[in-house]
Amino acid sequence: MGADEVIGWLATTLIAGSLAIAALAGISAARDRAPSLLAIGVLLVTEVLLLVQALVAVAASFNGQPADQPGLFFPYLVAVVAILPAGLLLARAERNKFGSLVIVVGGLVLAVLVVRLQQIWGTPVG
Amino acid sequence: MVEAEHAGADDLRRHGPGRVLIAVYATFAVAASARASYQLATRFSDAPLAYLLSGFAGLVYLLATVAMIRTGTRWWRVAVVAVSVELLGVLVVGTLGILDRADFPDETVWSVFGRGYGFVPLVLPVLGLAWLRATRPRHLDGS
Repeated sequence: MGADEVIGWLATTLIAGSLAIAALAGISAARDRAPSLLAIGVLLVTEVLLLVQALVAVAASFNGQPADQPGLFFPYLVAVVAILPAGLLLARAERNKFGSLVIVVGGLVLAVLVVRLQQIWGTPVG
Repeated sequence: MVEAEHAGADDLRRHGPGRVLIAVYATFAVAASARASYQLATRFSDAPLAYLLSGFAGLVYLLATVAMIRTGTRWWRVAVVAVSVELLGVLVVGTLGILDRADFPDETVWSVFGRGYGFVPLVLPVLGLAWLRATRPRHLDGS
C-alpha cells in the first residue's frame, strides 16, 4: 500500500470525522449547550488522524512522491492541522452554545480543506 | 458608572456571537492572505489586478479580525469601517465580474459575490455589521 492509498483512506475518514464534529457540535448548539464530551472526543481523535496524515504526507514527499504543488500543499497542511486546536481554544473560552457554533464552523471548514488537500496532492493520472 | 457600562458593552462585543464571528473572520483572513501571497508570488503577471485585489481582501479581513478582538470605541469604529469596506468590495467585485468577466477573472474571494466560498463573503459582512450595531458603544447611542 503506497502513500497515496494511505492518504486516500485517511482522507475519507477525516472528512467523515470533520462532518461528525460539525454535526455533534451542532446538536450541542441546538440544545443551547457547550460542545458535548462526544463532540470533543471525536475532535481529538480526528486531530490525531490529521497529524498522522501530515506525517505520512511529509514522509512521502521526502521519499520520491512529492506533492504536485508543494507550495500550495504544505500551507494547506499546516492550516488543516491547526484549525481544530484553534477552534477548541476559542470554544474553551466560550462555554455555551456559541462555543459549540465555533466548533461547527471549524468542522465544516476542515471538511473543505481536506477535500482541497486531496486535490492539491495530485489527481490520479489517467 | 458610564465607564462601567461602556466597558460592559465593549466586552460583550467579543463574546457570544462575537466569538463565532471572530472565528469566521480569522479563517477568511488566513485563507485570503495565504491565497493572495501564493498568487502574487507565483503568477503575478497573469492577472495583477485580480491578485492585488486578493491581497487587499486579505488585509481587510485581517484588520476586521483584529478590530473585533480589540476593545474600545476606536477599534469598534475600525471594525465598522473594515466590515463596510468588505461589504462594498464583495458587492462591487461581484457586480463587475458579472458585467465584464474578462477584467475580473474568478480568482478572488469576492468574485461572483464569493461563490467560490459558498457565498459566505456576501453574508459575513451583513452579520458583522448587525453584530457591531448591536454592541455599539453606549455613548454613541442616538447618533
